[in-house]
Amino acid sequence: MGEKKQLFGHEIAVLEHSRNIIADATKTKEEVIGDYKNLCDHYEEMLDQSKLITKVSDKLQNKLNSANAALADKNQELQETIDELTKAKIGKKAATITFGLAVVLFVLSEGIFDPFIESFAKKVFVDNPNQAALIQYSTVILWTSMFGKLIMALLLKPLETFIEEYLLKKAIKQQKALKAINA
Amino acid sequence: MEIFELDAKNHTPYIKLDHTTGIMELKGRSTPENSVEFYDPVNKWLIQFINEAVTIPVIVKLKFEYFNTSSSKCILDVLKKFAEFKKTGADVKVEWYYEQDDDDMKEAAEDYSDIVKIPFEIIEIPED
Repeated sequence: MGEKKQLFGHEIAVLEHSRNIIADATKTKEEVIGDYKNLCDHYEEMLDQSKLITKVSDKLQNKLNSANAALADKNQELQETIDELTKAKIGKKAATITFGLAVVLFVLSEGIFDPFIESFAKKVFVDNPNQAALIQYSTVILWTSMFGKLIMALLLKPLETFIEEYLLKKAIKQQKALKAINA
Repeated sequence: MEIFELDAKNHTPYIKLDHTTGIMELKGRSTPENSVEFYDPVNKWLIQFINEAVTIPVIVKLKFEYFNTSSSKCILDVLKKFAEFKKTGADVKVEWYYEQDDDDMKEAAEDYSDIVKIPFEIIEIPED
């Protein structure tokens, strides 16, 4: 089985060699001094390496930090664009729903509300043979119908805003749920 | 002896060590899961190359976008091999390319050139 390579394999070998020298009682003073000099050289080399690796590592960490900051900015920009797009999409959807509701209300007004007013006014005024009452009958029908339609028209904008806010809240909830799943 | 070539991947650089032209290229991002294992074949190839006592001038072209701490040690070990080769009388030089405005990579090159006894040329290139 091959020995697993280590990042500081050479340095570890130098350390083990130096420890063996200490344990070896047969070494002469000159040999020990020679090995000590060797150890000093290796130590110096390792110190240089440590300085270099620390410096380079710090510099590249700065580079990474800058890249992360740039990425965060881009993410923010992207999120803002997505939000704007979502708002625009929701605004369009709300306008379509409001238009649909307006059509439905108009049909209801023409089909149900107006005939109801007409039959109600008929009971009140037409059964009265008075000419003035007949005039009042047509006026009441006309103005009630117009008033009803005016109220409907005035309610359209607040209705659209309400639908838009509702859809927006729903979209935000969905986005949050999606983020929670992805996290 | 064969040309050593490795394609770049997400976390590892492109490497081409060509004994026929003397051009040794390492470029890209070096953040392998195990840097020692990744650079081991490179070191083995270099030992073989040095042992063959090739007389061709060697240009080491380095163009890193980013490398992690353990890679910085492995790159140093690779450069030390070239320094050893230079000690034998070989003509070796390093060309370290960095992208315009990438001062961190430029300074990293300067730090390497201080410790490795090989002529270093630090070359600015336009951003991709």
